[in-house]
Amino acid sequence: MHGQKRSEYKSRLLNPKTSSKLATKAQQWNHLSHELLTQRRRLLDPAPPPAGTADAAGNDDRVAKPSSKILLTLTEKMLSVNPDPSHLWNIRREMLLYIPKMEEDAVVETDPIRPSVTNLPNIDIQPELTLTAHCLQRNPKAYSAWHHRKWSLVHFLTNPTLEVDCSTSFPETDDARKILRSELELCSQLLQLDERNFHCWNYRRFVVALLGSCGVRSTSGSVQDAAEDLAANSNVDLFSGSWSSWLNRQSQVSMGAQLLPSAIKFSSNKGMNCEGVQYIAKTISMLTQEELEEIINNEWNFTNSKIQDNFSNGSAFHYRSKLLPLMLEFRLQSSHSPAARYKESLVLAREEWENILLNAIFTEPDDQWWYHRFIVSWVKPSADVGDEMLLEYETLLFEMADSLRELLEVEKENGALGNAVDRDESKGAKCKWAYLGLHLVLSTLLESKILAEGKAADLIEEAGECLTELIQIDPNRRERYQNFAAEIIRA
Amino acid sequence: MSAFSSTDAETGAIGPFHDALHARYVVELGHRLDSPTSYEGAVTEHLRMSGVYWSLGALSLLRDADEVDASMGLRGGVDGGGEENGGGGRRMRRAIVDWVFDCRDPRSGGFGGNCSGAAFGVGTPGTATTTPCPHHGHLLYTLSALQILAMANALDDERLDKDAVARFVSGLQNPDGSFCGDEWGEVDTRFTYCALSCLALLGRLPIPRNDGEEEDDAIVDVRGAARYVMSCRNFDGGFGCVPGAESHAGQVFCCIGALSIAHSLHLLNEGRDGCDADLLAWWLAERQCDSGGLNGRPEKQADVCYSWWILSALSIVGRVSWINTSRLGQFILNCQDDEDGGIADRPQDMPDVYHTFFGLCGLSLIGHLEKIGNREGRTYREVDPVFALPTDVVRRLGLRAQVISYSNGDVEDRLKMHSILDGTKASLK
Ligand SMILES: [Zn+2]
Repeated sequence: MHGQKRSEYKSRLLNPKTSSKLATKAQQWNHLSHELLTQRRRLLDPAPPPAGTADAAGNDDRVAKPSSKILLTLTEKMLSVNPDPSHLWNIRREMLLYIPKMEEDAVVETDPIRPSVTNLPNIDIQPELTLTAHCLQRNPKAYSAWHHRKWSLVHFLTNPTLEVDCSTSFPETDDARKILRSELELCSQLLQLDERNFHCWNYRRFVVALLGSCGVRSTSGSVQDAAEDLAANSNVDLFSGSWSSWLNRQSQVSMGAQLLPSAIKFSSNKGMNCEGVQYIAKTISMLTQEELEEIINNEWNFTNSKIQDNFSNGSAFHYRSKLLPLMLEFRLQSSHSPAARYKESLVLAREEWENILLNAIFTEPDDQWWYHRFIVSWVKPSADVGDEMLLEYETLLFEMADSLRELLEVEKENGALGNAVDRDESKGAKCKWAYLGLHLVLSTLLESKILAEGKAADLIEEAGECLTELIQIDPNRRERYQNFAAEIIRA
Repeated sequence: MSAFSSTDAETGAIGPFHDALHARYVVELGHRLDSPTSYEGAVTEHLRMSGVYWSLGALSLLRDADEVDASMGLRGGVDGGGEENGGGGRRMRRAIVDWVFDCRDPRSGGFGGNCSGAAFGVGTPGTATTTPCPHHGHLLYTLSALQILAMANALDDERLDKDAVARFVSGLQNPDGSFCGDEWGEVDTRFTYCALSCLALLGRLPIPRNDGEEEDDAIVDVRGAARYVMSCRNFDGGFGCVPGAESHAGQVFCCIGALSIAHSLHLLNEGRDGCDADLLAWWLAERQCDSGGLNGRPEKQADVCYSWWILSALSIVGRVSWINTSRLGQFILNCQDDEDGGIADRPQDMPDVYHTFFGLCGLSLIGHLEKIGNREGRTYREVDPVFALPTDVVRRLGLRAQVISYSNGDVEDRLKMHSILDGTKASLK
């Protein structure tokens, strides 16, 4: 229970009208719940129950074989009220797969909720999109509803009977892409309502990845083929005939949907050894460069507009940290010498500092600080980039330090004009992040060689002053700063 | 309130703690939720298994095992209150352990969140009036079920087919090391923690060998599971629910807990872009808000449940001292309901059993419960930061996990293995 005021909640319960209303709702729910589970059992258990187990209403399990459509309706009714229970979505999925199966086969010879993989029914995706949209409006953080939407999409897209022509150029009109594009639109709308809803950001990345895997079909024919390709490449037998391996294929595809971050690890060439990356990389490479670029550029611009709307948007900064290495790959195109590669990453880092971080630091200096730290680490050069690049790198760091000192000067002047009350945490917070930023830049410079060489003593002193200030401003985390100080001395 | 004003927290004094109210709140909650007219009971019906685990866990931090057993009806039936029974005699609640087995889903092999037809409040101890109709087996509820059985000392009950449950768990692992929550394919690092913790409780967890050789016959790929967790790490040192997802304190606990159980915490310091265990600890420490409470992500409100998610993770990486524990303790105490017991997400909010349990866990991990015990002349049980069970239970089961001990030395030297945590308390002074 989150965010329920105690006094209001208790007085609601004490109100006889409200409490009897709630009691009725509870009884209705419990009735439906019991009804659904016993109907499901009747439908799925082929063996007749032992004698004498007729339930209270006098129904005998042997005579009453309910229709699976009734169960579908029941789940819809219940989930519209409460979208959280995963077992209700499970029953819904069982019925979606079960109904067409029943229509085909007069006799169910095996376990009906484990249909053979070669003969999976198509599902009508529209009712699922409508129901989950309704549920997510009610509760935008319902894990189960988001998952069902993913499941429905993947099921729809991987269905062998789906006629999809991906041979035309990128902004095309086939069903799959149309649906995926409208899913991105839905994400944008939900993020308008709550820009920090991580379920929705995750779903957005999932859809982007599916859009990417659409491109696979342009070379290999169908998603089915693509799935087989993926399976072959990751040495998994997806079609061994069991239900769970079919599901594994599903989760393969949906994990393939996590392609962005994995692709980042692949493309940045830094010790990626995670299984499954090969096929994800393959997926990416099967897209044409233009298609992939358009998808990623679209996301890059989306995070930018979210940050411009509100500088304090950790979710957008986070996504940017995942997109940045991909942007570097696009910029590089064919040139691959370490120096050229590094030069381009330095350009990107400077752009991020000047266009995004500098503005943000002067306004809302919390969420973006972690991004600043990331940029500084990400652009740290390896030994082989050459002195010229090293010099440019240090120049960027010194520029960062200057901007942060300037900010601190302004804050100090403001502080001098104000009174002592300004020294509380909320006012001090601004200085805190600037001091942390300055400390970060200075200690990073200390690890570098050229410009910083003769200035080590000054840098150490200034970094130490930052920590002294931080201990004052932010006493809750005193130990952390003391650990920092010890690190400087050790180094 | 200015951060520099003198409060109880600053002077080291600890405010009132409503032990008796909390114990009563937890015990009575079960009866309340059983009522067919309980709205709260209806909307949380699907996660009752976890609800029972939170209740038992909370009461276990307040009372000894025998008292918990007696007042909750853990292994024997308990009087469910006769007044609702229309003169038909006293109604007995089914023993919790029996109900847990009613919730075993034979189709999947796992435990469901509840069952229909043989729920609490129906029948007499040991018997059910109808065949129970369990919900689908799911890792979340399978872990809660095993945690309940662990607290009830019933993991050796003949009804528990350990191999079958272990097969359910291992069957949910994907080739990339991740775990699905159930056969319907949702992947999340929460499930990785659940899976490894379940296998540890069942005594079926293959510990990776030190010689680096893979064990071919292991039922799960523990290294793969740890690698997948690491693929969910972000630029801020934290972890998300899938690769690419943003950091979230609840997810951090699941990932760090999973690495701890997998004896793979050393992976934390094999990162790049300056990512290591201390960056993570720092991100966690920054979750402390002006109120003293902890939030789950930057710019979010403080909430008592993060006292557990964050303190457990900080305990495992040996950095509890990077936050102000006195002010956190005071925040948790401020969230108590001083009339009816229970702890809420925030001061003045309505309590629930989830926040009550995790609030008590928080008080335990920062040593506040111990101090309160000293004041009242009694001893409180402690919570284990990896397994979320009382430490005496963890010790009895011989569970082992990895923690980074508190010191300023090299992280490699600080990696130690313990069945329970030893570093945190010492660092608090
Ligand atoms: Zn909470």
